[in-house]
Amino acid sequence: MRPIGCRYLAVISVLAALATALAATRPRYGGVLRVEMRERAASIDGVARIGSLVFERLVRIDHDGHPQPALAVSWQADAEQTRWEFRLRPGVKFHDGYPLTGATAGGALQRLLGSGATVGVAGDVVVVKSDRAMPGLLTELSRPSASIAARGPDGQLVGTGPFRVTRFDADRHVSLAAFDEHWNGRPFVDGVEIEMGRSTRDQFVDLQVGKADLIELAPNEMRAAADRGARIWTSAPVELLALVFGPGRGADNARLREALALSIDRAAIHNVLLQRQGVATGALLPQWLSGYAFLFPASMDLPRARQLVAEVPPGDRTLPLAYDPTDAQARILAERIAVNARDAGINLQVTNQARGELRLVRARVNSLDGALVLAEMAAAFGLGQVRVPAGQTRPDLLYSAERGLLDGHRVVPLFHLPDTCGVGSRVRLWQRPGLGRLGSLQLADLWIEASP
Amino acid sequence: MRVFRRGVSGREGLFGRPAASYGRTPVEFLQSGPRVPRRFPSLTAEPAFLPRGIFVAVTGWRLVVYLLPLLVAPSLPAVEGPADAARELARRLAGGFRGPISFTLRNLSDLAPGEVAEFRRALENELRGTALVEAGAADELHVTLSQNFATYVVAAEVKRGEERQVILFAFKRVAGTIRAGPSAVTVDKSLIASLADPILDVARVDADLLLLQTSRITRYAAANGHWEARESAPLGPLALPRDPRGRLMVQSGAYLAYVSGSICSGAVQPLDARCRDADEAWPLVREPALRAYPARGRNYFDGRVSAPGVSKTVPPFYTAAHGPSDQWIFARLDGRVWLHDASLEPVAAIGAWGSDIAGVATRCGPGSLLLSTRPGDGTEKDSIRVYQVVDRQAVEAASAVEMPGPVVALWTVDESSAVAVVRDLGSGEYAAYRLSISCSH
Repeated sequence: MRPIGCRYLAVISVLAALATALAATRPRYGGVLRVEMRERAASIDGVARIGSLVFERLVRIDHDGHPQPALAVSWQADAEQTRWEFRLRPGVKFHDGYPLTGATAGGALQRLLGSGATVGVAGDVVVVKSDRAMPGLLTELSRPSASIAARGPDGQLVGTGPFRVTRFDADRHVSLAAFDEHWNGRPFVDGVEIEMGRSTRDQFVDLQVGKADLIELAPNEMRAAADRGARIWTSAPVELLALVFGPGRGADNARLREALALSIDRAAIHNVLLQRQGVATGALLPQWLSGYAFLFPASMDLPRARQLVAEVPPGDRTLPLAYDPTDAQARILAERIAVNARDAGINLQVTNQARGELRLVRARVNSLDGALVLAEMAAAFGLGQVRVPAGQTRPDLLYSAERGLLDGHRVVPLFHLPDTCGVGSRVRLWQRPGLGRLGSLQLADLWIEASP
Repeated sequence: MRVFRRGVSGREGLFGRPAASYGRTPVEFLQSGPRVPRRFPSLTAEPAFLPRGIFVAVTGWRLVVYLLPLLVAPSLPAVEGPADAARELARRLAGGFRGPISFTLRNLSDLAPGEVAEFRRALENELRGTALVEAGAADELHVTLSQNFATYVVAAEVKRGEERQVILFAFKRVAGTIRAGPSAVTVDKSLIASLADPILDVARVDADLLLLQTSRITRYAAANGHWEARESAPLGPLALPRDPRGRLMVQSGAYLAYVSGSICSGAVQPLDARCRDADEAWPLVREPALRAYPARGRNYFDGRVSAPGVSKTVPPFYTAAHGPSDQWIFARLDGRVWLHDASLEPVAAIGAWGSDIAGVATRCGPGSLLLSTRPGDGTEKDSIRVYQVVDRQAVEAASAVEMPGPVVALWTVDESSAVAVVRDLGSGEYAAYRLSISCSH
């Protein structure tokens, strides 16, 4: 479940002295950025983090959570928020040269909204109407799932983003080229070459020897990377690591679930295995998003855990703990959790089977809308419906919803982890960070130092 | 998301075939997040069991129940500022306490100590009659001032007998937390350099300063409590107007210097410079970006401006700044300062100040503070005024800072400081001052 690519955001720590050792000038056009990632994708639309480079939405959400123009240059809603008008940005072209029209965008919106709303088009204005208020519409339209794309004459997907796809080798390689006619200006780099399926170890080696410019870093690799002078970009914590119970005799025992939650020494795992990256948590939503994550306890209480286990039939005290075998970090985390559980009298059998009574999973924060994130996590974890509507920002309502999801300990949140990237010495930033708040790559704002 | 293109042969029904492997259309799968049920039908389906003003009660420490104190949902008042937040908390603590309570207050937000103290004072005032002790009482009240990316959050964990409650609500830090006058905002003025040639702009480079003049660019480093020039690069002969303007932008070890009619660039260390003629927009405001075209051979901008998502021609102006709520502020040629909305449409005239303004994004209030010169001419000593724009009105937020001559340049340096260049009427030199803005509640 660990997502792909380098995704990451805002807080940037430049740890290298390399930057000042190289001559730097005004942003330079040209060069090819070399990116490596662990995940493999069978189709271009499966490469989530590349999507924002190729496809765009009507609206984007800025760093403070405010909607900003993207393919829509402006919008307005009536007082009831049942009718919205979006004025399209003029002059936007798809990568195959066709213009973005109201009909195109309107069709895309209708597809997204389904029967919940009616979409009409009047010139370059797209009108969305519904019987119900749509306070979360802008957030909805800012999400990657609301990307506007089309199929070109060759059947390939085309978008309006700053880069166009020139080559895609399933599971192996993606080549992107700068889109000269992008409405916001051509990117500085000529292209981006993305190697998929690279282990983090190989990525790190490639960064060291100058074969890669941008790589993923696991939290436990950051220190080594920094020690070797690499530049590190790290995000706010946007990924949840959690235990999820499925159906099963042991897993259905509420006391056992609570006991396991109380047996885990998050602090030790955080300090040692995660090398203090991210934060230990008992919440689904990270603190930076909700403001109340500290209300969900994350501390170990071994005596209480043992007390609860004593009330569990001995035959129910054993259950398998499954982890994703493609997640290199998951195995050592799962084994450490099993050690903690054993101290409480629970026998976890660590397995790399995809399914199990108990799973160690990762889930990602994909929106600044806490209600949406809760809904996504609830769906992913099989927790049922979230009874708070999209767009709701009131912390008491979000807390109630989250409390409801966590009651019963079907999910045991463990850590919120940041995205981290290792960045090569020839990569330069201009004006904006290379990472969007929620981890989208903003490679159009990068430029590459000329070779000496 | 399905895309249709009317009138494009062979393109109808794009994405009509869901990706079999995922059960979603391709673009829907661009996002790696888990699939979620369609959300729109629920957009307004705010459950009836969650009335506005709800608070969550936890009994037996772990059992959550939803208390329904109000069957009819009243509108929540906007809570603004620490004192208001304290009053709101007291209101939600309906019923009070039977006796002394163990009270703790911690701050996980970026609220200043003074603001936290203001919250405490207000809460104590609201709870007067209830003894607040550190520990040992039967009832407990543990308050945390927190924040998320958008707002501040009050989280109160309440224990009354066997009942546990969590009260949560958001509040904003607004103008009310900034009291106009010298006690709220402090402006510290420190001399950076005094030189014979005009100084156009100053930028920070880590611990150093880069100083742009009409003929050269110089890097200064702090030494023994003052700034020392470390290296300098000539800009070459530039065709300048009588009243030259310049803007200096530094990033990633390089700089761009916009000097009337030219753009110079180079590395910061070792410092070098290459200049070319250019008629390009200047980055007047860095974040969010505002770019504007200088009028060739003049000392103002011709009005062609672009902000995020919008380009427009506004009346010519001398300087511009970012205002609250994504508004923009322009100092026009006629001496009036105008507020424009996010789409750059004029909203209101908010003052008749000097020609130079600069925004400073301090944490004293909801938006940036605005520094401005005062009306006058080149023979008078100037002063820097500090304003906060609230509800289309400019409120003076600090005492004016007196300068030794006319201010010829005023630019934002970073979130909490600006640089003002003064032609010192005493020495005749150009003196660059750093103006550091801080809150002093």
